[in-house]
Amino acid sequence: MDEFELEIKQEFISEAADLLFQAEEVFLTLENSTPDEEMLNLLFRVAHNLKGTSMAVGFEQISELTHHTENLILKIQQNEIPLTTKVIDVLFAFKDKVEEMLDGYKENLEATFDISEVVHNLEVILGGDYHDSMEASEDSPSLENEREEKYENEAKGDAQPDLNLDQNLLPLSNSEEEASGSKKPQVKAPKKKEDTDEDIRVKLSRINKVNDYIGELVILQTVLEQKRGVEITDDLSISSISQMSKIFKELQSMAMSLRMLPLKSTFQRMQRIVRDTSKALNKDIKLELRGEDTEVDKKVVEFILDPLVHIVRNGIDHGVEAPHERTEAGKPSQGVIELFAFHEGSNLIIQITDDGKGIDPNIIRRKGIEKGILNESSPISDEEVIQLIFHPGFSTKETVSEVSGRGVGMDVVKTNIENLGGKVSLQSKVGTGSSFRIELPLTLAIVDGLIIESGDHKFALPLSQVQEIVQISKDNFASATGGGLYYKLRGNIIPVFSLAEKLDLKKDRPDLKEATAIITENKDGKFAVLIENVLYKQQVVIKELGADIKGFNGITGATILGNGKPSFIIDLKELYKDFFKLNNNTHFDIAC
Amino acid sequence: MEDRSEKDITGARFLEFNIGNEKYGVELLTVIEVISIPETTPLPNSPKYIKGIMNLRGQIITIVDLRTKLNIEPKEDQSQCATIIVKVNNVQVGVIVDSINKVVNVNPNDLSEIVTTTKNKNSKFINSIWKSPEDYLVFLLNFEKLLDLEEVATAA
Repeated sequence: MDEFELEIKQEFISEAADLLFQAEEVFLTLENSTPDEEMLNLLFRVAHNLKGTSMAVGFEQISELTHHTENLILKIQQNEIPLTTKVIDVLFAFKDKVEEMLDGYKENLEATFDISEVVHNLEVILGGDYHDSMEASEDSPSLENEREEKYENEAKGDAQPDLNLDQNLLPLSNSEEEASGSKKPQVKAPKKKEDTDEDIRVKLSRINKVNDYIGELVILQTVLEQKRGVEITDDLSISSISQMSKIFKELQSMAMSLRMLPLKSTFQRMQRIVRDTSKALNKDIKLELRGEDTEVDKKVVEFILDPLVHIVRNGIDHGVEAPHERTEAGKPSQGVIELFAFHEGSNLIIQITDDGKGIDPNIIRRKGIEKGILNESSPISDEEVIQLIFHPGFSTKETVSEVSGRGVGMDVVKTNIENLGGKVSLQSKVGTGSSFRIELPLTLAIVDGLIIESGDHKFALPLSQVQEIVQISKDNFASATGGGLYYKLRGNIIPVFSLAEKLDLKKDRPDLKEATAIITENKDGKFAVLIENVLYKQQVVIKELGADIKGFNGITGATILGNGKPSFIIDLKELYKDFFKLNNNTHFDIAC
Repeated sequence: MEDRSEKDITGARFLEFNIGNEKYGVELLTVIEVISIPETTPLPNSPKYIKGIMNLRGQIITIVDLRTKLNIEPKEDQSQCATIIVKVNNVQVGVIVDSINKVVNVNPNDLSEIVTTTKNKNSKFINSIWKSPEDYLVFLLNFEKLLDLEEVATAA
């Protein structure tokens, strides 16, 4: 068994335990109340899921057993079988059996089990005999008798076809054991596998709590650190403090890593997408994965799926050519899409490269001019031109195909990635292929922040939003006739806003002579935000705000500053997103 | 949870606290802890009764001034006030009150409904009125309504 198979099997075992737990909860409720549709739907999903995944990882016996149970649930859903005690009993028996099997697999992944009894019971019920034994006791033997009879049947080999299959797998001696009613898992080879690192499932909220507390400790630690050698002078305390610092650093990075997951599962899902999509388009495409062990924050992992799906589909649809075109162009008929993930500094880089036909900058340029996004005389390079595919409303393919292009395009991919503080860019060469590069922060829990002061309050701005900080000079201001201020930044006129005014902190605008401005940009263009002071740069731990104040415009979270005081993190893009509404004849200024 | 505060308060225990000359009560089960007046960072563009956010051992918690919320004149010196940290609708919120009295056992027989009048803007925040054995009245507040998230969001 190769490593991958081993891993997915172990993953399945822990996943299945969760599913069973869910199922049992529903069973218990079913026992005590009339079933509602939603509950049965949930149950069906659980069973279906269990069946599918167990089959996929090669635990056929679980799959087989679940298959029968799924049928039963379906019949219950369709009101063909009522929920008698007998039915519920068999559902519980199913759950116990699978649990027993999972335990057995933990010892030995190659184990086989006796599932005949449960399968038989399921089949009896599916065959229409679902009456409770109490009701049925007159014309059929008691439960005990029934069981005994069944064992006899099994021993005689007088059982259902799929049961025979199992018996073939078992050594002869086992069927004797079976007849005697032994239920322990039939582990064929009792060879115990060496101790592997075990997994436990922990609620994310708990991990976040650990991170919170450690963050607090680190702040207290800084206080001590500052006093070390000043107010704290004895040797023991000094050495203890520096020891503690080291341990805290370790602890902090360890706690951070608890939120990190490998990209593997996300990449694996792409396999399926490539397979299905290329089939639908009659293309022959191979997906190559590199760096799938790269770890990133759980949130990033969850988030990255959609953009990746979009880009990969796009590559299959628009990028890689059909086999005959490829042969004509002198390429191997099978196209290749490569996903490559790696760390670069504190960023995660994912490159999606195809060896397709590439993007012709001339077509993009023409389109851009047609759509009024580009100016005919704009002196922009080919490389810049192809970034236009990220521009809202830009789609070169006229027909909306089923595979990609559902009205939303690359601009959504771009916006989503930027919302996470990331970047996306494209390189392409006609005839050789295209390569997308996604750059994302490793964790969403910490960002580089700029601590600023405005209206006597301190705020944190994500550094990724700060293009430049300028000490503004009064001469470069202009007031527009309809109100509002503009600033001349190296020949460009950009709007100016005051943060204190916007946040209603102070009525009067900061003195223009002393003001500092943050230059930033949203999808409508560049603008300047006046603040009082830039204080310092700091890595800020993002704390989510409670749902009670989450919706506040432009405030994306809070963080705790070095002095222990909370401070808000401001998203300038969000805060000023409405400012360009009146003036909507936007042009695309690519010279940035 | 919601049902409990609406009707089923049989023999429930409440934390009794003061605002001005009046006594109020909050169901003890929703109370996480009581702290002194915290240092807060004000939330820009927020309704007046939101005093800001605080750092409670690494957790960011919104602080609400109950006096302002109930349209009672603000207290000049808040230094002696107390903050009750409650968990309502799964969110922890701090509520500033004048002072904490004690924990009381509420006998349902001593409860009476509040008569809603147009004169009383706060009646919607009050579940019922409890008459204590010592013959004073305590307004049992409905913190879910009082700290209604949607109201806060729209007030922004």
